[in-house]
Amino acid sequence: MTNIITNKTLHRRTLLRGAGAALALPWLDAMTPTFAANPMLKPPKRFAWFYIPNGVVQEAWHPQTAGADWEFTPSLMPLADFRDKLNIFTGLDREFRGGTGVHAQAGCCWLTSSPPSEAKDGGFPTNVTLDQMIARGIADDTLLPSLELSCNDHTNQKETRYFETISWYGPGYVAGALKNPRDVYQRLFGKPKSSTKSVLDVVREDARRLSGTLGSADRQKLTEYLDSVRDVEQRIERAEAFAASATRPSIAVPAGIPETRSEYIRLMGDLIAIAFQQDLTRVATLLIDPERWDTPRMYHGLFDSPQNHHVLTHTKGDEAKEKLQKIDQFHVEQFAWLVKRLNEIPEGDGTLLDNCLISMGSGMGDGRVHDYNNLPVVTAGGLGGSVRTGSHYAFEGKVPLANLWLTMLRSAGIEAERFADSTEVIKEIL
Amino acid sequence: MRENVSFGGEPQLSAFNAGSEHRRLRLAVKRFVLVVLLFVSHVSMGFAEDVSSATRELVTRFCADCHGSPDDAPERGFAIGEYLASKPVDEAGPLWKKAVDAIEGFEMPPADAEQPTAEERRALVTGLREWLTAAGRPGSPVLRRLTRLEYNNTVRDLLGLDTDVLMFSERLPFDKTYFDAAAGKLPDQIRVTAREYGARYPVLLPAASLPADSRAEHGFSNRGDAQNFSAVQLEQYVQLAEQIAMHPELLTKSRRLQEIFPTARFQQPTREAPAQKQTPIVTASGRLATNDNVMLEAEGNPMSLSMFRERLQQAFQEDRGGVYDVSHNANSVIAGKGTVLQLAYGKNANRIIELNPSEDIWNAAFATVDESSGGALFTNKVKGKKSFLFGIKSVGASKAGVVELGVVELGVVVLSRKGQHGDVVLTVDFANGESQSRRVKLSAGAGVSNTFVSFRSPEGQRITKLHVDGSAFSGDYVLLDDLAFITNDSPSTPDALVGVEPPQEEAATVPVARQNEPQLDLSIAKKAPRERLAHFMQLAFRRPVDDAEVDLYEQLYTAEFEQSHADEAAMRRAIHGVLSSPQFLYVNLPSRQSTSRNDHQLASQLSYFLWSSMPDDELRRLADAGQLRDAAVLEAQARRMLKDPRVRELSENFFVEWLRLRELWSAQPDARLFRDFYDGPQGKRTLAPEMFCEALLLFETILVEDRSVLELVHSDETWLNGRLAKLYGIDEVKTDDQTWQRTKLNDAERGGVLTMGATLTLTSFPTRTSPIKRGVWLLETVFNRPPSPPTVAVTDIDAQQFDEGLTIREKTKLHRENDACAVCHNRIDPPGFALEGFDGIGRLRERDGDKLIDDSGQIAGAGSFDGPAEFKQQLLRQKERFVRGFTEQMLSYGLARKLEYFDAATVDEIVQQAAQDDYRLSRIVVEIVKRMSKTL
Repeated sequence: MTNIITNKTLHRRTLLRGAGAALALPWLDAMTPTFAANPMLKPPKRFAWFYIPNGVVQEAWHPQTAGADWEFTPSLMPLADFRDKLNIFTGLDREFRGGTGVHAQAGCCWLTSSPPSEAKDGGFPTNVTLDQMIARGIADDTLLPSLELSCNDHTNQKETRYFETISWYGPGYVAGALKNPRDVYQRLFGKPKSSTKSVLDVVREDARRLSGTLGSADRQKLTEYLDSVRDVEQRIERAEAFAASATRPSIAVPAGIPETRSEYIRLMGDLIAIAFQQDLTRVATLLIDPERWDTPRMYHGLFDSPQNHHVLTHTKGDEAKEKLQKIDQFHVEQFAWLVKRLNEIPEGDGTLLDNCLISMGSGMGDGRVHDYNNLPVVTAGGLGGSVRTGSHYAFEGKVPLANLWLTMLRSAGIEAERFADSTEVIKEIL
Repeated sequence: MRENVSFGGEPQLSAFNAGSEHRRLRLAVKRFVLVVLLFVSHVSMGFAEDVSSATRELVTRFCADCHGSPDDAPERGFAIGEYLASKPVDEAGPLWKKAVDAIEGFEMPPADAEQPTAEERRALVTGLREWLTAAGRPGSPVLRRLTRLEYNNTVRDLLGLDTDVLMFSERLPFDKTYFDAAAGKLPDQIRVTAREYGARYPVLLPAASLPADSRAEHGFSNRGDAQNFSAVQLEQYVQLAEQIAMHPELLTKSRRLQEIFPTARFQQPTREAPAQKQTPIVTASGRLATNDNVMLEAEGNPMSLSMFRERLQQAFQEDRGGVYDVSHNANSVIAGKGTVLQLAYGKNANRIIELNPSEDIWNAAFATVDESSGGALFTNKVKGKKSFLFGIKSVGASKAGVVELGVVELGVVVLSRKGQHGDVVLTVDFANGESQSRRVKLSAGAGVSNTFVSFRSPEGQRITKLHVDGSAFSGDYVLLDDLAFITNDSPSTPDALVGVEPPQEEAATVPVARQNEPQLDLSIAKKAPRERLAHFMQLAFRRPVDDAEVDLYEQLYTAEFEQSHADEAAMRRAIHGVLSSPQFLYVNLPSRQSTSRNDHQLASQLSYFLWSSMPDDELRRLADAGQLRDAAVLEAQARRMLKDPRVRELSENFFVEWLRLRELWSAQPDARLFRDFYDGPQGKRTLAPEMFCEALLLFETILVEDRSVLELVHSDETWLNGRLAKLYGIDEVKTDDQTWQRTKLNDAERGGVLTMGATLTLTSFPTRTSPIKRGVWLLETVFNRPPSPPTVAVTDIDAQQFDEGLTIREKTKLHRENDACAVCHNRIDPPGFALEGFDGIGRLRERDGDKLIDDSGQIAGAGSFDGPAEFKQQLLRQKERFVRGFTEQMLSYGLARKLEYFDAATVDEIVQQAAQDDYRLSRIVVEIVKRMSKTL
């Protein structure tokens, strides 16, 4: 809520949240893996995306050697245990559309399905994003079609939603992210109340009637309300079925937003892992931090004082660069945590990770110069054998990131000729 | 610079790169083509005829060279020939609006092109604006959701609550009792108390939350086009509605519900007479003094300092203890008579004890630690009043039933001081009347005999008083620090925190603002459920409701009644539904049939504009009677609303969002470079609240005293407390932190929003100023002419390989030598330069490093300036540009939508009307309100 990070802040945050200690979810061996129980059941495919802002220190991130013999770079080192289950992509680019902020566009259009030539939302080429397309294709009757999470607990008066939104239902239509692990828990495991259902019946009817009296622009706004009613009703219905059939994990309710960055991000990762493991959802996005957002942030354990990631990208000298690289590595560590979690859960013949494809990346290549070239992308998991892993794919020339997104779309079983400005599928990984 | 961003088919780059010689050659040809085009189209096409031939000639002369035919890669893809000729105005309008703004703002024609004379420029702007205006249509309001602030205020006023509904970060931490909108004048000295930003305060639902709203592109967060709605949000609204409707104390806290519930028993919040002044709640920390500072233990201590510290840490984790270390309210006085210090303690700060001193207590802060053990301590305020006591009370103690809650262990440090010595006796009283004493022998010397004193109450008892007797001490002041306490509360558990159980501080109800108490019609409470429900619905939906609507929500009543057979439970359920309805959550739902409903929509537009809340009884009555559209009535209502306490939101919401002042809370000037920004132990206290308060008071002076909005650009006075005055180097003001003094400024550098600590700080980087950030901020907020984002990838100034030793200004100058950058930076940089004489926290300076500051410059169309005072004078010379920007911002906020080209006429009229009335704020507000009626 507040965004002042000083020594005092820990204190302040606690105050407003009304809940203090971060109780990382105890990792229970006793949890019954849904798909481990029945070897005949083919586990579903799951997708997740981790977003890191403001680009990365390029030379400390990208390996030099292409192919299977690629070398771990300092920033990627935290993933060392999972070499065979990773893919590293270098040389992928996105096209910048002039007229909108370069940071805002990097984040909001990372997973967009609009080529930059199609700007439907102000100047922004936002549209149904990759995660939402895949969710619509593979959600089946999971509790939630997708899960949108964010570790940006700072409110900011300067930046707009474009800086902190990577998932969109449509042009200008934000898939609102949950920022408090407690809310995520409630959304996954909260018991629906009968009172909610009866109220929804009434307000749905009210909104339906209203809708008939509105002009087209206003009706579209109200459609968001009606869509939301439908989504909630669907979740309630499924939550009831879920409660009847499955065993609820006996995990502690998160008390709120943890004090330290790594606990916060890892707790969100844990929640994704549990949601995947329980098949409550098959698609998730997690925004680690928003683009730009010039609010100093405390990276506990890394630095003694709060740091401003964006300002660091524009600060001269080796000290700043060193700090940036530490932050990059720190972000990879958090990603590695989720990879490890998923890899610990047995499923089918292997682990949950083997049935996932989780990606980490940024919409900006080098934050210092705001370019969209050589975007960092790392994926983990083999998506149930449909993605080959263990290599570094180095692309030369102008190769759109959308090629990878198209490849993912196809690997999810969704037929598509192209995705945004894609030119071809990356066949090597299929 | 690395050329590594692609430009997505933007046409302007090739033109930028073209040499100017080549450009001129091409232009001659283009101009010819265009002239032909314009004249041909003149005969056959519609809108071109509306443009007067004089205007058309000017356009041809000054614009067409570069913005010619669409086939010829016109600059920015803007082909005037085509637009003037054939595009209907609703398609071309938005671009023309930009063009007019650019011409008026001296951005166009570019410096290397032929320049129009001042008259020609005015004629061009006026001619084009007239054309746009004539073709324009009134824009209707757009459907939008209540913002978080509006939601809170609406529920508060709908129910007639004395507090906010929930805590949210837009609520500023200032106690608003000083704000009297009806006074017509602010006194010259004001007391403003502030709680720590982020600290808890009494609300109806302390555990509830709603997500924050994000701001629209170049606009306010109330703008419908920037808002979305999702399943997650809907669930939150439905749950919140239920928490409100089912709140156990709803029927005693809500005035309004006395009309709806026959069982309602509203209780005026009990206030002991004479009303006890409660200083804002201060949070207690969990850290107790370090051993380095405290050498001695008092004889008879049941617990040593280290043991107590350990116990305290445990207790703090469980919300059972805390330490009062003065850090949050240093430099203030707790009055001995009638003031109670409320301390929120524990990790979650969700419980409160009250300290009630018998004498005035001075919370002192020292810049150096020479005096005692630390930077802050508390002592008797009156010289020589060395004997005093603290009453200690746990809030909510009476509710606890069998076991009396309270403080069971207490520790405090008595400090020694240079040149003073003698005994200090501390005594605690227990609830059963028994007491215990410790004698501390202080020897002379700063901090040499700081002594820790601890007490533990007998089993089943609690500590009710702490006496301090310094009569045998040679100094005039008894210095104390780190008052630590452990209570016998039961530990909070995470589970308990997840629930909605309100913390105990509810008991200490402090009104948010004195409400206009609703005029209740208690006869309604005697009516049938359906009628009571209908009454509530028309209030909640802010317009009349029809039978079919009541039928719908009555279903909820009926279903619940069938189960519980209780009217109260059934009505609560119906309210749960009403507060979840789109009709409650959205504003600007248009009428379904009758025109009187538009009056209600107008009433809502007024009230959300000026109060960020729902219409009150009077507005509703006028709307019911269909009288609100009358211009005289509207003006009278606007003026009445400007005198209502709720108009504080115009200051705290409109003004704050306009200038982005909330960014100040997260400002983090580098602690080494800007030591003055920080204060108190560990530098925890910052100047942010001071800076914020100064800005608010400037706007509130204009609001309450109905002054000219030009005073926002420059004023010869400002508001200062001692702390801020010190930062500004103004010696005359030496008040304490809570006393604000209206101060005449001796020089013209300060005064106005551009040159105050708040805005200068929030537009700086942590380590240095940024002329560009300041310039962009000024253009975007103050003038409402945001520059376009860079179209080329730029490295930051710091990262560029310039010669070392250049000032920021010199570095900035280099990029303006690039045509692509200059087009905007000619506009952005000069205001930034003008403010270079202020450092990153708004202190005046003459040097940046070892270089002298050059804060001269030139504003296109206005002239040159040397320093901020002249800069502001130049801006005032073009006052219409400022007033236009301000009016646009306020109109956009009032209409809660983006302004379009067709609003230019409305803005024009308002600016002209304002000019007739010395640009008074009330005139601008009244004119905006009058025009709201025309769009409905």
